[in-house]
Amino acid sequence: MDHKPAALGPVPWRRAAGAWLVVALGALAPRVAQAAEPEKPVVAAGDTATATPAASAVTPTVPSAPNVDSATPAVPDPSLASASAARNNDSFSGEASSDATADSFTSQDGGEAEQQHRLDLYGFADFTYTRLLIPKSSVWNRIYFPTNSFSVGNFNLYLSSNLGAGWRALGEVRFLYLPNGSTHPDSTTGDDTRTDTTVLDYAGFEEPIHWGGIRIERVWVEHEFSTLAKLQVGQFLTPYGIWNVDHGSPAVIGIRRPFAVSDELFPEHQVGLQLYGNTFFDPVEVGYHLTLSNGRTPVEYEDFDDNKAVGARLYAKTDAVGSLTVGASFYRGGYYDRSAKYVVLDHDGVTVADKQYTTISKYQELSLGADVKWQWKRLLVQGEAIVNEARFSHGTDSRPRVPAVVGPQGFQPDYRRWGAYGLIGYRTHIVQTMPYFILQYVFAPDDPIVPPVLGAQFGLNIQPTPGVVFKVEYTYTKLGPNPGSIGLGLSPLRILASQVAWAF
Amino acid sequence: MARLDIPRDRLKNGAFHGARRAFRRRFMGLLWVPGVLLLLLLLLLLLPGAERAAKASDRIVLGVIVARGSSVQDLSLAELKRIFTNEGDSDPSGARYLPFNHPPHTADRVAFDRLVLGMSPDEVSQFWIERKIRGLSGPPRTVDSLSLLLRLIGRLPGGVSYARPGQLTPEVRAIRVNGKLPSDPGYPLTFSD
Repeated sequence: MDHKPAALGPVPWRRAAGAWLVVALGALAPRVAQAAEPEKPVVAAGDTATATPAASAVTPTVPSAPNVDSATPAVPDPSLASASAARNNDSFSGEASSDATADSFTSQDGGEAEQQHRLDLYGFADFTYTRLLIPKSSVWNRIYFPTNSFSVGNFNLYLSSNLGAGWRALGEVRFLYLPNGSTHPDSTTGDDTRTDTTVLDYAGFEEPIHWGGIRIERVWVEHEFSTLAKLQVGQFLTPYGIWNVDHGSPAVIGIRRPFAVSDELFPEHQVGLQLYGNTFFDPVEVGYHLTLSNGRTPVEYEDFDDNKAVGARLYAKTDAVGSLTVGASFYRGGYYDRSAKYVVLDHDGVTVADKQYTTISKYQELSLGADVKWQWKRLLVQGEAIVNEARFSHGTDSRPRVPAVVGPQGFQPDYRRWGAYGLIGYRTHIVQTMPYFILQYVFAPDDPIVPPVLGAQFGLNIQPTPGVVFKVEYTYTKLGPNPGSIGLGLSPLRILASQVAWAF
Repeated sequence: MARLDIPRDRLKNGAFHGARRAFRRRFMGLLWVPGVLLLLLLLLLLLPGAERAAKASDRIVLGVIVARGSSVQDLSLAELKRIFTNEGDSDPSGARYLPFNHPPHTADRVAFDRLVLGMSPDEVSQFWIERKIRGLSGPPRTVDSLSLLLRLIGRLPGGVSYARPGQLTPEVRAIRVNGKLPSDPGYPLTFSD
């Protein structure tokens, strides 16, 4: 089926966006230099100097002496001694020291004052056991991975710092066992080759060890001009919906991401610029995100066709009826992948080396999404619906081959995919246990391999203490009604999984 | 036919009468049970009133404080919630509010979080964990010493915190919350210790 999305026309104007990007970064450069200068303490320790208004700062420039993170000032403050007479008013001094660990993840908080450049390290991790509840004969036992195994799935580390004067930086990296163990099926031979990263450890007795990888989830620096305008540059999570931004296993309710999210109907990350902000029209908060990026690319740091992607998100939130957030998201961009080879050319009698490119895949895509999240007392209801369509450039050169069990291979048609999920849960008082139910559906009529998927997940999300979450989840996935080109739809998939996720 | 002649005193003090007395002792003696229950019920009915009365006398008021020279006069509970969840809010001059918190699990902090954020201490911790995982800014700064907190608020334009009215220093002042001063009836930030 060949959809011709009318919205996906030529986009020469977006090529000019690259130039805009350079201008924007140029404008930011002086501010970066300014931020790099050491912060001057505005109020000296214990003296009576006048505090400079920190109006323009997200993080206040506070007296350098009082270490507001600890029970005792970092620098002796004579005025505190003189104020000891007033200490009978110090109702909470020392009360909380034994309990302060409850906020330890929040690092007692924020490094906003004198430690402008303090680096906050925190993160999350999870450990999962997955078991398939299907007959031994089911094909899923062979192709689903990992099955009946313990696994550490995410080990994400955040590095965040308030740089002062409205600047903030954040990095998030995920440590991976991959590429060890990853498999690469060969559609022509059927071979499924496993990557082996075994090397001999030179630091020991050359014991064999496996090396893993690091994935950059996001890394950006942000400047807040006002609450209405904050500019991020770097790599960021695409601001759409709910799940993609929540994304950390202790923050999301279920164990598995809904298919509509994991299938990346919107790209998960983007490298570029993000402008966002919010304002309040009591009792409603209205916020927006605007993005300009390389878009979906085979290489994160290179945009092969200089065709920038644009995106937007608009949301409204109110606490008038519980906490209700309604949002809509948009993304439009191009994808271009190519292979290259060096060639030797004769250029006016001079032999020069040049590079020739062959298009592997090239298309324009449009994604639209809508989301709603409602928290009323202990009830949580949330849902997202997303549609994504792609139109390949003219000719077959831009269309990749589609693997087929029974040949001949065809070319990838233009396609439209859509998916939706809904979640309902209720957090009880019993060990903060939330029974939840997720219903989801994804449909890609132009994908010959994967039939429509209807999934249901029942589970328990238990929070014995803030930062630690136990999850038990049963997933039933029905594929069909057609079996798909490789027969995936013939067998339903039932999964029982348990997970412990923790923030640190 | 012999006549069964039972003397009257025997009848009066005899086995039959003894059984009746025993019955009366056994069951009528239990009459104290409903009496006690009634008394307990009365106590239960009266105690909450007494407790309420006691609580009314122990009511603690939290004033929302700013620097004495600040132009901020009134904040709604919704605005306070936004300020103390770092969702970004500005004072009338356009300056961003700078919230400062009491340490976790102190009485005033727990009460403030419950009254303003609507969260228990564990829920507050979870809230900030999830927010930081999303990559958003962290919680307001906590200050372990009240005198230090009052000095900070007194010197920092945009600084906002809370304290009991009796604890205020000349550098700070309490503002209205939802249009009410701490001394006004119906002031929203009151709790029992």
